[in-house]
Amino acid sequence: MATLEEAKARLAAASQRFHDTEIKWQPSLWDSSDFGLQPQGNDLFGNIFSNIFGTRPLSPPAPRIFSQRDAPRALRACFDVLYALGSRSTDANETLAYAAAMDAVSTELDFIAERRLLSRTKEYAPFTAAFKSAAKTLKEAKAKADELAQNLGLAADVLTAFSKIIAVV
Amino acid sequence: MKYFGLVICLACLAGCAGLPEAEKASQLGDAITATGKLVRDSIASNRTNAIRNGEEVQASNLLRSKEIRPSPSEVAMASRANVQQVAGSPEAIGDARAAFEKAKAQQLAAKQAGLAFTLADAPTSQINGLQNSAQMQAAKALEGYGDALKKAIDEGTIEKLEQASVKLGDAASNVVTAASPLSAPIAGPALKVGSRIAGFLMGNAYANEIQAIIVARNNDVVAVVKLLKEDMALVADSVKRQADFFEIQRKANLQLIGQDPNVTRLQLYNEYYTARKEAGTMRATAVAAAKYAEVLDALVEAHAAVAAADPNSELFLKRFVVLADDLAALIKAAKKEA
Repeated sequence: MATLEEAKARLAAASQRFHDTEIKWQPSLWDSSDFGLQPQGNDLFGNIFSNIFGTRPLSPPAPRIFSQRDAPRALRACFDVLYALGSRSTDANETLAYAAAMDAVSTELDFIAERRLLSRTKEYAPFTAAFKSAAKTLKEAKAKADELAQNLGLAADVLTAFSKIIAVV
Repeated sequence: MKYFGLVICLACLAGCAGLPEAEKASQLGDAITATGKLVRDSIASNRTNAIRNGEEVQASNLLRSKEIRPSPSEVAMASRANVQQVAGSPEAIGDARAAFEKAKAQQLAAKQAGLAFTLADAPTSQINGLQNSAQMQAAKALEGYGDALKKAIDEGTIEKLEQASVKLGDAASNVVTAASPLSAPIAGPALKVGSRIAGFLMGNAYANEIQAIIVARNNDVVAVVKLLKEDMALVADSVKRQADFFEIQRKANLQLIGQDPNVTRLQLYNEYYTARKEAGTMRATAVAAAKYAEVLDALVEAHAAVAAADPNSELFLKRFVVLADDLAALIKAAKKEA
């Protein structure tokens, strides 16, 4: 297993590649200074990432450690670690820092999910149209059957009236 | 014997098509309703949870502003240092000055950062743009289809057609009876049988039309469920993360409240109890959203059961009995005439 320093170095490089090559959709949310998480003797993010590397190994070292498929998994693992740390924290400021980091990671994950979900319009379109068309056909068939039954009833009423006239005549 | 063949033919005719059983139709209706509700509710939860989480973050900002204000002892020391009325050692004056500077810095920080809270909506992370997304449109179209299907499958339509046809046959029979009393014994039952067969044919045509639509859409249901399963997994995960975030953020706020020496144990206990309930409510939305696979699988199963064209056996028996009665009357009349 990699040492903590090696793990942190790998993560920094991978994270850089992740932002440089894979997701250029918005400014990075990984800047710890945004969340009041600057290292102050206790390297919070270092610990978090070492937890990820220690317990949840990512893809083997390769030029593209974070692919778009792996990125959400890595972020999700990071979120889980932050949640676990937040659950155990006994200090308000530390808990707040974990919560802020959780929201940051969640924002990244939601953004990736959003891109994926909103790009599926073409895939859904034929089914949406088919169900709308089927609903229309069903409504028309039902209306036609109701109308036919109503017309038959009217015809029967006419014939009944006619038979009464014949009987009298 | 010659009538026996006719009976068999008509029985086959009567049973050759039918709408699905009421129970299966009802299950399909429930499954489609549950699917639409799941998609709508999960997307709505994602939005409302983000707003609720934002409220906790804003509350946290407010609580922190109180936390970083100088303590009463610091204010007293700073005040003494400021008016230069401290009678004591130079170290004591130095401490007082340091406390004063600290208090000033803290007050500035409180103004600049801690008090920057808002009472307006400030949602935290969520998946944006889903209200009018393709997923939502598909779920709505599916619901519309299910609604139309439920109404079309209703046995009342076929019964109405058959009854109207029989009523017409009866009316025609009355006309014949009135016009030609001699032919009435045979013509009456014959017209009745004819009108009932006509009613069955119309009912069968209607059932066939509905069944054809259901069968044609079955593969679409399977495909759209596959897409929704993949997509709802992302939405459900987002809702779960929101519940996790709420738990931690609410806990942090409780810790901040707990730091205030003026807060009693009872107040803290009540705050904990409220927070616990709120976390439970938020968690319930995540649990509901996580049922997506179960609900979507039920939809595929229910639609496939209806598309399997398993006709309603009860309806078939009912049809057979009334047709057999009418034929028996016709045969009896024919024998009498013979």
